[in-house]
Amino acid sequence: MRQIIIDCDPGHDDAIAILLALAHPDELKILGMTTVGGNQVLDKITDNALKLLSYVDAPIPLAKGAAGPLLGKLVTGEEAHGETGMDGPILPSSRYKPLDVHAVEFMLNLIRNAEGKVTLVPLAPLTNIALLLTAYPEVKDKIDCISLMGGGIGEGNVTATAEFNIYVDPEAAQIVYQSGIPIVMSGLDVTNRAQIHAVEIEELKRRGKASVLVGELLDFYSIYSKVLGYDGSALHDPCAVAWLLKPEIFRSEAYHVEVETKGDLTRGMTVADRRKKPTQEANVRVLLDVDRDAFIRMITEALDVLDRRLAATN
Amino acid sequence: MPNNIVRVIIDVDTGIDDALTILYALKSKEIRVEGITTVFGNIDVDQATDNTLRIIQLADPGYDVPVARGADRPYKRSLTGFADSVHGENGIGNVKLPPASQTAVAESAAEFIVRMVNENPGEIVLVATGRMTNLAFALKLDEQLPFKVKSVAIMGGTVHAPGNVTPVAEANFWGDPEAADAVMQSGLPITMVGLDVTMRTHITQQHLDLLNRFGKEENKAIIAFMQQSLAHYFGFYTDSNNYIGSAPMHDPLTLLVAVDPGLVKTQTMKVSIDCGDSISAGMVVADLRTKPSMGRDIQVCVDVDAQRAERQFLSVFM
Repeated sequence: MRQIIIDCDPGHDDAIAILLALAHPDELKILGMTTVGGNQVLDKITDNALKLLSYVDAPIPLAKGAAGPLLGKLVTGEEAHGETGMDGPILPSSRYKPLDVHAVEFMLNLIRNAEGKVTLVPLAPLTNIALLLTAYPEVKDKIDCISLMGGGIGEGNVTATAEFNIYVDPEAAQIVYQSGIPIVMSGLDVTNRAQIHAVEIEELKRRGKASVLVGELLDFYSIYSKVLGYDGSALHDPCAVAWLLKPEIFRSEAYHVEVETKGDLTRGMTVADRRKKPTQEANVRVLLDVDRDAFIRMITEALDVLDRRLAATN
Repeated sequence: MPNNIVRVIIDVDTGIDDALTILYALKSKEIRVEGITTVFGNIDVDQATDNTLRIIQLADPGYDVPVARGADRPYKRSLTGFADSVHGENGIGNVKLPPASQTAVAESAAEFIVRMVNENPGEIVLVATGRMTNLAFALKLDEQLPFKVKSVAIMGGTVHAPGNVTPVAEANFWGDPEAADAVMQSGLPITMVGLDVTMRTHITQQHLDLLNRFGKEENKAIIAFMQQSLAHYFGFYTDSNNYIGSAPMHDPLTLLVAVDPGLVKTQTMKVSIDCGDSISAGMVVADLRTKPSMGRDIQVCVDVDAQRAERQFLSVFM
C-alpha cells in the first residue's frame, strides 16, 4: 500500500483526482491533504476541498498552505474553473474544518511519523512542496516519489510553452524538479490525451451520487474545453493519481527536465533534454501517452465504487 | 536570363555544410547565385569569407559571384564563441584549399543584400544558413525589404525535434536570438528549414562512394573536397548522435527547399524567438495552441521527402 499526501487547488479536475484516490483504499492510503492558491484563491479552493470531502463522507485531515507563489502575485485559473474555482454543482457546506496547522508543518509531521516512505501527489502550483523541501530537506529521504500534474514538454496552455501549475510558480517548480526526489510528470503531453468525451459525461449523470457530481463538474469544465475545440474535457489531475494505480496504461520517457524561470517568452516552461546524448542525468519520468479507454474505465469504475459506498451509508 | 532560373543570394558562415550548399548552387543549372554574403557563426567572419572565396574558386562556376563580408558579432549581444568541434578549426574540416584570387567587395553584407533586392524587386530568393545577423541589419537599412524579396529560406531553429546546442535551441538562432526574432517578426515571406527536417536528410559515406564512382570528371576536385571535409563532420555526428558515416544536410536542404518547395510539407505557425539568457534562449516559440496569440505567421517545414532531396543534391555532381 502506498501512503500519499495530496496537495491541491480544487478545481474540477482536482476533485476527480481526489475521488479516484478515495475509491482505492486498498492501494492508496491518503494520509492527508493540503491546499495552495492556484485555480482560485486559497480560501475558495480550501472550501471546495472540504465541501467535496464532506459530500462523499471522507474525513481526510486537511491543512491550508501557501496563498500565493514564492515570487510575484497569484495568477488564478478562473477562465477554466469559474468564480468559485469549482463552478457547476452547488455543494452543501462542509461538516469538516481545516486543521489549525500550516500545510508545510502538517506534511512534515505526516512524513516524519509515517512508517515507511510517502508519495506526494501535487495537483497545483508547487509552492507548498518547495517550501517543505527547502525548510525541511531531511524529509526527502522519506519521500519515494512525487507524482505531479504540471508542465508539458511539447505544449503549453497559459502561454505557448507553459502550463498553468508551473507558470503560476516557476521558482517553486524548479526547486521541486531539482530536489533529487524521483518525479513522475503528468504534463499536458499526456493529460490532453486523457479526454473524457461528451457522451461519457452524459452517462455519468445517469448514475449514483459521486458520478452525478463528476458529471456536473465536467459539464461546467467542458465549456472552456469547447472553446479550445474539444468534444469533452481533458482530465488533467486524475492522471497523476492514475499513474500510481496503473502505470502500465501510460507511455513515458525519462528525461532531464529544468524549469525555465527567466526566459522572455518561456517563463514556466518545463524544458526537457531529448537529445541523443543529454548533458545531465534524467530526473523526471515524463508521461507522454495514455490508453484513454482504460483510463476512462478506471475513472468510471472508481466512481461506481463511491456511488455504491455512498448509497449503502446514506 | 531564362525565367525558370532561381536567382539567389546565399548568406553563409562557411562551414562544412555551407560549403556543400555553395558547391551545389554553383553547379546547379537551375540556380544563379547573385552573390554570397558571410557572417560569423561556425567560425569568425574573416575565416568564413576566406573559405567562401576558396570554395567559389574550387567550384569554378564560369560567372562572377560577388562576396560581401558581413557581421562579425551578434546583432545585440556579445560574441560567445565558435563551433570548431563541429566544423574543424578552419571551418571546413581542416581541409587546405588554395588561396583565392578573388576578394570580397567593399559593400557590407547588409548593404549588398539591400542593393541587390532593390535593383531586382520581386526576383531575389534569400537563403540564410548562418546566424540571422546580416538579415537583421538589412531589415534595419530597409524596412520595406519584406515586400521586395521573392522568398526567404532559413536554416535555423526547431519546433518538435530536440535542439542541438541546448535541449531546445538550434545553433543559428541560439547564436543570435535578437537577430532571429527581428527576422521572424519582420514580415519577410519565410520558410523555416529547421532541425525537424534537416536531421532527417543525410549525406552519407555511401553517397560519397556513388559520387566517386559516377561523379563527372570536371567535379573530381569538388568530390575530393567533400570526402575530406565530411570525414571530419561524420566524426562529430558519431560523437554527438551515434551516426555512422552520415551527417545531416542542414544548409544544403535549405537551398534545395528554396528552389523546390515541394520537397517539404510546411505548416503555418505563429513564431517568436526567446531572447532571454537562460536555458531556453534562442528557442523557437511556436504557438501551437488552438487559439494562438504569440508571434508572427511563418511557414515551418514539418516533413521532408528526404530521399528525393538527397538524390537531388547528388545529381548536380554526376
